[in-house]
Amino acid sequence: MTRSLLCAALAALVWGATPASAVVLWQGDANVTAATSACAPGVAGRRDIAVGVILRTLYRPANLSNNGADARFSFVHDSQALYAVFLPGGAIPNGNYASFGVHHNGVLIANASGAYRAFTVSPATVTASTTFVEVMGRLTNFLDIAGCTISFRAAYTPKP
Amino acid sequence: MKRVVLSLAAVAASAAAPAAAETVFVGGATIRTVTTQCGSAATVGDYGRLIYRPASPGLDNGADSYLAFVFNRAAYAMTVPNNTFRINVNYAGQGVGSTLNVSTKTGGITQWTLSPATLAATTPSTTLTATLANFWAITGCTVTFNAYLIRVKSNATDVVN
Repeated sequence: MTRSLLCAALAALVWGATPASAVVLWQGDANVTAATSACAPGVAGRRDIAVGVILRTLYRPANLSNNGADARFSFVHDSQALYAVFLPGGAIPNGNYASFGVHHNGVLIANASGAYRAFTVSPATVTASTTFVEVMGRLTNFLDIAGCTISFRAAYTPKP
Repeated sequence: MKRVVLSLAAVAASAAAPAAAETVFVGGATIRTVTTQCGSAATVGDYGRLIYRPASPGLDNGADSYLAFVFNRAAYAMTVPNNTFRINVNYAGQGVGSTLNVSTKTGGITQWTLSPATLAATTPSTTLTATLANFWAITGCTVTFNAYLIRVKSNATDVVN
């Protein structure tokens, strides 16, 4: 066991393999292309999510480098709220996600959930050398707001 | 780890109970000092949005307090159940980092200088200098930050569920 671990460690050094902790992500912006009225109740402008809103987003594809089995996305609204969704097994186009983050009012979101639908990733297979990635999809319970469903189109480039 | 996540979820769920309204304080925060254990996760000069939802009387915020940093691509959210943030109490923290790793840890509040010391529904703004241990859920990472927050009063229906 020790010997095999040592060999693996040496191999990593020799070939410059990615460190065990390394993950590979893409960063970009997401444009909200549809949103239900629950996303913008109209009582606090800083919280409203509506068509045309731009969300800063990260994409961590599944099964790439040490990214793990789940595909992960995050969306930040105006530096005020963050919503990270984990797609089990990276399965697309449909499924149910687990989510983490923080609401606009500072309340943390821990292990919430919702559904994702009609996800498409272009190109369909993302590798470590892929430069441009586009993702479309729909998320229910967005930002853990009951009844809030958004559709989005997001464009990504690699995050160093 | 799983137990911590579950307990955080329980706290978040309990805070989601309907309330008449809520009062939050929002502004910019600058990190002024860090320990070496913070590494690249927190550095001097980091600037993010800070949201404070204290459990002070008259704010309609419920019994638990929340404090959250939201950066461009990451967020660190903290809560103190059945208390306000203050010196010598512990908080429970959950970080969603810019690598999309989620981490949780409790940490101590070793400095909490809020002015005015108690926030009311009519307090227009507040300054804060605080020191938090295990920042970003990193053991040994202690940061001190300054923040200047403005009250944001929500309407009765503007409560997260």
